[in-house]
Amino acid sequence: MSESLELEAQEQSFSEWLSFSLGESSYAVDILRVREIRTWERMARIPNSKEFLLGLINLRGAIVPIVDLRKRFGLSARPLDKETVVLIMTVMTNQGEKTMGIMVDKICDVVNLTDDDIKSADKFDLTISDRFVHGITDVRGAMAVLLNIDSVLDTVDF
Amino acid sequence: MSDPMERFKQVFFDESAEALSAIEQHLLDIDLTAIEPEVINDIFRSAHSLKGGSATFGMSRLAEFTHFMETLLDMVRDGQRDFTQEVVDCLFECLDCLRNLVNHYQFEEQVNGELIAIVEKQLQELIDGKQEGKPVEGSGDSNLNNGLVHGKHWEIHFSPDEELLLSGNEPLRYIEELLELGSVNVVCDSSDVPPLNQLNPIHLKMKWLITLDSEEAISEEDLAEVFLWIEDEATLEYRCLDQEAPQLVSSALAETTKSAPDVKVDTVSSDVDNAETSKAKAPAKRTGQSIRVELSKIDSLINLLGELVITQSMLSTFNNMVQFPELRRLQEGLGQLERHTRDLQDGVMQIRMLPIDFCFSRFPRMVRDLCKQLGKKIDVVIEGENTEVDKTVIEELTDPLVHLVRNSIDHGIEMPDEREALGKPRVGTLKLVAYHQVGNIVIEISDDGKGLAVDKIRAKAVERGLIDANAKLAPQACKELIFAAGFSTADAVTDLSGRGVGMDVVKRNIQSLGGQIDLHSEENEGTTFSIKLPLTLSILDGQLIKVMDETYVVPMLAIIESIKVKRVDINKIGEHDISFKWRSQFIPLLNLAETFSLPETKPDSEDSLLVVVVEHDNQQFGLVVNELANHQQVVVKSLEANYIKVDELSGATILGDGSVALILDVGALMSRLKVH
Repeated sequence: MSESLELEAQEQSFSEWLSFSLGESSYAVDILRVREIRTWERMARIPNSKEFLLGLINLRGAIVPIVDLRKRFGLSARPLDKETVVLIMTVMTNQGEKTMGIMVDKICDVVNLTDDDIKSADKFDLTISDRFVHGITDVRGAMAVLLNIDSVLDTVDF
Repeated sequence: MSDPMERFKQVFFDESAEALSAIEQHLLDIDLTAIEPEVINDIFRSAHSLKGGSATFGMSRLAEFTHFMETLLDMVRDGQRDFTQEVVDCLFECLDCLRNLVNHYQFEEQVNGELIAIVEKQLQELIDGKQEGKPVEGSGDSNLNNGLVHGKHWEIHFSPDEELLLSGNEPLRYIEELLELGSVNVVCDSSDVPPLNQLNPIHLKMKWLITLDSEEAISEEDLAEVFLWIEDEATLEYRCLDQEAPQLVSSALAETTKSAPDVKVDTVSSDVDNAETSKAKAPAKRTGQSIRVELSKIDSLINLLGELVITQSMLSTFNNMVQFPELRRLQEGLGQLERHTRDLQDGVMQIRMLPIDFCFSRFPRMVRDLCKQLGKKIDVVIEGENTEVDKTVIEELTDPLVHLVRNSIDHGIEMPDEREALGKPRVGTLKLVAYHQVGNIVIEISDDGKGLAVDKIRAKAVERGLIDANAKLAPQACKELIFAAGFSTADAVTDLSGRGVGMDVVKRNIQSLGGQIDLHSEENEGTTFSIKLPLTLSILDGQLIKVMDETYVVPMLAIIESIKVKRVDINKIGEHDISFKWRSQFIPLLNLAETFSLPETKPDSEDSLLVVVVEHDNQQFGLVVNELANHQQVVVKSLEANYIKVDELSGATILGDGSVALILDVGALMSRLKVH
């Protein structure tokens, strides 16, 4: 009995998502794209860059840009606290794989989702561009927005 | 690349490129009045290895062509033909064909059949022409010239070198292979085998006389193919018994094979002594052993080293004696570590360094060809060809240099008659010089031609609308107009230069490498271009500056001086600092804090500004900064790797404390002067 359940589960193709919050709202990114989670550190400001670009950090010798996800999504700024973290992400672009970071308020959970758990976000006004959104899902009774990180960190917008 | 055959092919292509440039070098160096046999042997060897390799990989056209060329070379070597200018010219053209063919097999480049046909015809004429040139003992049997000796009955003298067994070859296998061609009768000559007590089992002292009877006619080539692998290690003679009679009539027997198409077979026999001496010489000539390494491996090594440098400088920031009582010992260790890191850094950078010769070596040939085409006479003088510079710099440098050299030949150096009339030697001189100068490489290209005519340039610039007819320009500034886009003084657009897209592109290329180009020219005396480039693109000599709290790096190459300027000496328009007087001229000022839209936190309390005077394109401007920090070597990291290109920045680096500092692009900043 349990074996058949497992089999079914495999067919259903699980995906794991890392959820985090920006103020009241929660979002999630594909965990396979998360390279590491870092605390906030000093960054080198990039002159004349877009407002949502916080700056560049040294990630073991690589120069990595960090995006303030609040500003990217048009939310108000919030002072840093000890829960503020930077997620280092792998981003697929036209020019190949890049490494970039996003700063978020705090990380919450790792959630396992089946394809059925991921619902279309078409009928909701999520205030962010549709191309950023992969879908929505239920995390402990609250709605979490699943993000398409390649669009959120698309260098065309930088 | 996983396919071993592909890998061997790649090695073959690498080697053939080397062989071709070796031949070219020899041909260029050759002095027709005093030819050294060793040079001809070297050329022959290079061609020969090319032939062997191409035959192995089934590149038949390449093998055939090399074979043809070899025939001529062998005649020269054996003294059947003089090494004349025509031969040299023909060999040069052969090289072009060979390059074309190698490229055909390597990159699927179109085969230039027309050119090859012409060159083959020339080769044939030279080969045929030998009788007129010099009486030869061997005859020019018509059969031999078209490379088709066919026969059913052959006699083969097979005398392997005594070392043959050491290279893992088994003579029996070759005899067995002959069986595939027909029935074989083998007679072994063991007369040279010493008595048992003197016998050295690893020395092969036997010879074979093989008679081959075949059903079908086979050519000498077919036989040579059987012995291909050991043709250098054995003396082989093939005699076609069918043709014995006519050949005996025409000439002495032993010499016949000499002019036969597959000359190299005989070559080995006639040149055994020679081959031995050259073997002995070879190691002495080789300057050092080398291996091929993929550039990416070296790059990752350099990156790692960059990390090491950063970690190293990070450690050296610990200096709190109270917190770390053992600090002194640590610091001693760190001092040593720093020395070793620096040595290691130099060492690794050295790996990427190549002598500038890689770039210069093409010019003698290019000049030679252009001279022929234009009817000019030019000597190329190269100095400092061993000066080393980063591989990437060399790659980027080649095109601009080609352009400059072409310009010198086309526009600079006059026709011989013209030169004579001016009292100059008929043969012009083009000089390429390279040398190091404090962390930079300087390359000078000079000619003793007509130089730049200021009036002509001025007139042209006015005509092209580059300057105003009444504009006042110093002669030097006027000459530098040739670097302006869309400038060309050539009356007719020639094949070589004169498209007017030249010099500005040259200048841009050099600048994009972080270098600069200067020009010095006197009418009727000549023109010198001097190019100054950083030795490497991955490490930069930088001056750290602070603007507010941010640290930036200015390339040292761009900095002229750093000075304090009194506020009263600065010319303002409205709130903006516009210019100040520097070395008796006004130069523009750029406030970095303003350009980089930094919040102006410090009130202008001080009565003087710190100005870093930088230069780009021979134009100076001042950068207003708050503080000068360290002067240090920084590892250049690309911003594009994970981000995008930023206009005013040429990259970023990591400082000793692990923080990121941005490297300023002085040229791009200059273009910001007007945008406010």
